[in-house]
Amino acid sequence: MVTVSNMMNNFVNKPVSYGSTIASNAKTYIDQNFQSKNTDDSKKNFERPKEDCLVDNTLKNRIKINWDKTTAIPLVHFPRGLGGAPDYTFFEFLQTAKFPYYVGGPILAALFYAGVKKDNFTAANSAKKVAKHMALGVGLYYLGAAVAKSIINNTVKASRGIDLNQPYMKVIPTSTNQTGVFKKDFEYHKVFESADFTRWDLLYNKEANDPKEINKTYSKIAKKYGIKDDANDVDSTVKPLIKKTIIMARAWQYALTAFYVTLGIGMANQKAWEKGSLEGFKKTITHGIFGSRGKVKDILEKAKATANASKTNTAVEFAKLWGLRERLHAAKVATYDYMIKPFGKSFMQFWEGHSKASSIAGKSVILATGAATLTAVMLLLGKTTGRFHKIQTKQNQNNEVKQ
Amino acid sequence: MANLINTIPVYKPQTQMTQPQQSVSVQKPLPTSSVSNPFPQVNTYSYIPAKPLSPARTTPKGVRPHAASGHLVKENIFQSMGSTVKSYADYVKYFYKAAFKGEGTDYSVGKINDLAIRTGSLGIATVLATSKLFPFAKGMEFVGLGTWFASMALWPQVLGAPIKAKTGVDINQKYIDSYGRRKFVYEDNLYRPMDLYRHVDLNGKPLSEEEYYKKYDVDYVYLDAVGDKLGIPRDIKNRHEAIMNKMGQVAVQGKTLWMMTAGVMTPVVSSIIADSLQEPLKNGLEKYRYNKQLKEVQELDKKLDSLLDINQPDLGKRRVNTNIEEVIKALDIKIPESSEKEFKSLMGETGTLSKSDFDKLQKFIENRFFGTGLKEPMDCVMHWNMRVTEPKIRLNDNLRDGLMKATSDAVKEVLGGLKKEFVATLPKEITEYKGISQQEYWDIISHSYNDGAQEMGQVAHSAFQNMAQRIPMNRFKQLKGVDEEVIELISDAIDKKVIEYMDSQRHYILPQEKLTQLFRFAELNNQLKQKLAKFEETSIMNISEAITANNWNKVPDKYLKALGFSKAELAQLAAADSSVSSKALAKKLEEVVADPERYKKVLSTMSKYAKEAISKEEKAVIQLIGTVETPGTLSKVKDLMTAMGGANFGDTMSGPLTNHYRAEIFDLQNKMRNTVDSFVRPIKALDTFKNIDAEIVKILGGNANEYNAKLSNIEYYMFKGMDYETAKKALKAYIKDIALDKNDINNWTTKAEHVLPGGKNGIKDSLGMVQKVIGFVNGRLQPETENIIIDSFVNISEADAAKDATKQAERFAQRKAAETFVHKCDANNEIMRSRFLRLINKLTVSLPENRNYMLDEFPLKMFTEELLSGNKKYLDVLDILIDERKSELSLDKISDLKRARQALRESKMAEFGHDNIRKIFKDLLTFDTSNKSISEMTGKNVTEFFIGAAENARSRNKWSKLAYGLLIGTVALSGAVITMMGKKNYFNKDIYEKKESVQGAVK
Repeated sequence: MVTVSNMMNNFVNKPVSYGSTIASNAKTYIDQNFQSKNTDDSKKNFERPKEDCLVDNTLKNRIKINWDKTTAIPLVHFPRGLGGAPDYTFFEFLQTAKFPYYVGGPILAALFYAGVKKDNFTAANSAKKVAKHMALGVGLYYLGAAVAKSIINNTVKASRGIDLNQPYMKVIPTSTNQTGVFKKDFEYHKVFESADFTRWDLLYNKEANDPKEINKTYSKIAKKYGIKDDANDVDSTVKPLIKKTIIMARAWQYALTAFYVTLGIGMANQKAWEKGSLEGFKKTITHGIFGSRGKVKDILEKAKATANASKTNTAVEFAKLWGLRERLHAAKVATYDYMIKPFGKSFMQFWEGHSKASSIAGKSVILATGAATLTAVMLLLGKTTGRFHKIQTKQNQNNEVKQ
Repeated sequence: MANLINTIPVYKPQTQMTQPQQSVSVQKPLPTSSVSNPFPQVNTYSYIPAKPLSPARTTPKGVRPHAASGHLVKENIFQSMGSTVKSYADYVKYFYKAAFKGEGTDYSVGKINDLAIRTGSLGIATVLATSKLFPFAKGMEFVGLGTWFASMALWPQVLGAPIKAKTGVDINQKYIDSYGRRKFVYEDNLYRPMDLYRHVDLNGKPLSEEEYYKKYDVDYVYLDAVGDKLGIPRDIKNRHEAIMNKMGQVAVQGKTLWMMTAGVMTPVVSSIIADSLQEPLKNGLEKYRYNKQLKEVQELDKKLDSLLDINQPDLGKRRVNTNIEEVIKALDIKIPESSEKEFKSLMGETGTLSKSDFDKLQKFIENRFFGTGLKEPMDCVMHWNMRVTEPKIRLNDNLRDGLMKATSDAVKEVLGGLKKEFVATLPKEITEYKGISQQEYWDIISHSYNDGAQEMGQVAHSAFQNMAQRIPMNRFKQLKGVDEEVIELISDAIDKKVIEYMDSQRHYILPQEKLTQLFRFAELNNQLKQKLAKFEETSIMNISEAITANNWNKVPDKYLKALGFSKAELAQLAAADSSVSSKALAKKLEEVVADPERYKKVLSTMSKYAKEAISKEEKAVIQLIGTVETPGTLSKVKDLMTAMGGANFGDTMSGPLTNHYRAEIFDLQNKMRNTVDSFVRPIKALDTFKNIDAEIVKILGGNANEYNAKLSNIEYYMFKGMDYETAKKALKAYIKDIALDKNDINNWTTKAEHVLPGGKNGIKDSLGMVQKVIGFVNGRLQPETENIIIDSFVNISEADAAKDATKQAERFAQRKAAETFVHKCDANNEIMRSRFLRLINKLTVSLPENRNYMLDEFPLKMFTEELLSGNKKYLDVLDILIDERKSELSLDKISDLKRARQALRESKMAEFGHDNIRKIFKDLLTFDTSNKSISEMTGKNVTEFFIGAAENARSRNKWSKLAYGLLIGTVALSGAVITMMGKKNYFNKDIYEKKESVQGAVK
């Protein structure tokens, strides 16, 4: 929990920062000789730091964070929760709340599959088709959710320089971490996950001496918000705007998710996906891209023979033997004919519909999704800017910052 | 916050066993000297930790915080539902503020997520529902969504109940904080809003301060009660906080259990609830849709009555309204505007159409009326009655001028292709040719056409064209000294030009009014048929969610259940080869018939469902077709349309229309027959199995001597070489096979040709044996079986009925209904016997002359002889059989049948003539299968019927096993976890400090 005392504790008692982005090129109180090189080495982030610190938002880190968070659910949070650990946090509860989503889908699918008439060939076959369609639906559902989130994230990142997904590592104070075997050293959070308790502190360059350096990140963000350099206290000027951005962005993320998942399911439910079928896709990959062209040993021997026969162009012969061109073609078929084409087609089919009702539903979902996206982006660009606010400048200190 | 907590010098759960005392003591404030300064450039701060205070006990002095106004929520389920709905309205407000103004808090933004999830799910359900074709499938999308959310909301409540019963802690307890936000008390384990429990009575109901102090003189009575339940010692320091912490422990345990199990329980419970909702939803929808369409059809029926003048009893005086416009108006038919508009624009306004335009019109009619039974008669009417399809050419000055130009152009063209020097040698008649002359034009007309009408028909204008090609050539052929080749060239050119020109002059003349009438008649027919089709869709059409489809989903399963198969038997039935399946089924039927009580029970269950299913479909069929005496709606539509067609467009229209409607009625009847036969045949199979021994004795004789005597008869040739016991065994297996195994035509033939087990021959060539065996397997039910069925429907005993007149009447009605059902079964079996015997007849046609004796027989012979012998029991069956023939027989033939029936009813067979009755029945009561495959004319065979049901049952069993297994397993596991809740454990050592005896009076 982020409280004043907690923060003070961190600031006051443990001045050494392990924050990556800022700490990398800043001074510390510890003699450089006793410190490991503070480079962008992301491994560093996963050693147990002494206080909360930012983690680079790289793909590698994201995978690691998600893996850690997911495995912690059954290995840490469940045992601690079942025991009723006194220091069990709300964060842990939220983590466990993801578990039903991981389990629920497969169980629902298993229940569906159990109800299939497997003795009857036609029934089983058509059920298989339905199941595949359902799987595709789930896939496009998540794709829709991801698209909605990334639209907002990218808009905010590009226009305001804020990475809403910026992770940080929250160190659990040892004073409350007394639960032995299932102990918890740290939690992964996001800097902007809370609008009420945003971790502003992590954005300061704590090692710097000069206020300008300390506020470097804030100055960068302020620039993006259209606040001129002459703003007095650039951090406190920009904080309310960031808060506004967080709230607006979150609200639209949720709203757009509703639209895009509906769009995803609607598209998954079209005929375009039936024709290409998963079977063809699978075969293209297994036989087309990775299929063998005879035994490897034979191929190698042949290659040797060809190499002996004509010393030129063995590489080309090799490529021929392995059917590189065909494999590339298969890869193209797999991506274009089995993914991109039906994707586009399903969009059109959803728009057109196969009955009056479905045509209305399809058109309205697509139009509403487009309109919502446009509104979201426009509001985020128009309403969060600091350009039209009266800013307390260094010269004019009487005006207050207004939202 | 952690530091703040550490500084509180009061109860704290101890985790270190070794030093319990120290941890309870007041923690010393951090020495200021230990605080280093990270910002040397700024003034030095001094860190002063919070002073120890006991929360909720001491009132802070100096600055007073706002009085906390949060309170617990105590609601019943309806209030809770109400506040849920209300809170969603708030969430919409939150969304508006956050999305458009950027205002909000973590709480409000979190609620937007809830709102978005619900809206998104609703959107998904809508999109999926619009993609479904049938209302039940559409409905199930929303049922699935509803049950999913319901089970998601329900499970924590279910889990919470035993936890509350055991520990007193309600893990779902909500409170409203000072800002009016609804939250869970145990949402954040590190935040314990203990103050909420200060003024709560012993039932957990929050009270106002005054009310509370009227009842109690100390705070936290509720908390104390929960503490007692949790087993917190009474004499410890800061007991309320200890209790609150223990409650926190239980809440964390409960919520963790909830999250561990929700993933399993939500889909399982949702699936189970949705499954149990299927049946009522299906039934409700079926009833609603059927009744809605029935009402429409009944309204239509009434209107048809007045148009057909049905109420006029004298057939001769009936005046059927055949005016198309009047009928359209009377029936309130809306002809689709788009179609009419298109038709009109295609027909044009001038009344004549060029060839390409006429083709378009024909194409339109073909597309619009294809498959409605009207396309061909419309073509015929247009061709023969209206002569629309014949191209015409108008005879006038334009035609003359055109021909002149065409001929002169032709010659010019030829000359243009020749050398100038050569042209100069040609005579003037050629080089200065101006086309045909007036005289030549008259010659053409007089040689080809003497009708006088302005429009030339097809015959006339081909003659005209012929002449127009030949006559101008006469002039050139008379010229002397002209190269013949030139004449040839000119002749070809004139031919070509004249044909081109004549083609361009061809047009079609439309009798616009008549054609519009025809179009509107066809549309009327379409609309009427569509109305009836809608009714059929809800009732007897082979289409998802119709009554018949629902019956087919239900009845076989019930039959299967009635017979009582074990798991292994089901597997054999469903998964094995069909011959193995039929053996498994035969074994089961043998078991059932061996036990009279079980036989009775199975028979009555089957009859109950068969009767229900049959009567539902029959109602719809009767509404459409009616009976011989009272025609149904479809029959009336047929009568009206054929009468109108005849009156307006002649026999060309009424003939094909009659055939079309007849075929439709026949199809309906056949569909009905299929259902009845499918559902009745398992009953008949049971009956066959029950009586098989007696029948075999009847066929083979009671002992070896009788049997041997019969063997000399050629009828028994197939048993030659078999002793009595072997023959009995063989015949038994043979009959069982026939009763259960497949009956499509190929298999049936094979069956009849197939040798008896252990023998060398089949029964195909023996009329007597075929009649005996097939007649037994397909014939009427045995009296004993009939009685069991009738008794099963009558639930008022004779003794009871004797005491009370109303009960007697009720009993009578029940008996009557039961008898009707039995008669329906009998009629069906009689028809089937007739069909199967007839089939064998067909097979024997190819036999040598001397063995072709079977053709003399007629299938209903046994039945007819019974009636002739004075047995009145089967007169009702006869009624059903006559009704079955009505769509195919003309009225006078039907009345022949009726007269024969009358004679039988009044026992005047002798006066009517036995042979006369035989002849009428033989000729008219035929249920021939000659032009149709027998599988089309009968129901499903018994084995296949049960295989389908077994497949269903097995998949259902598998589903139940998984769903209920998961349900029971999770519930059991949850129960086990719940018993451990609130107990001392690894995380909660439960070490308390004894209270010093100064505080209050505690025992």
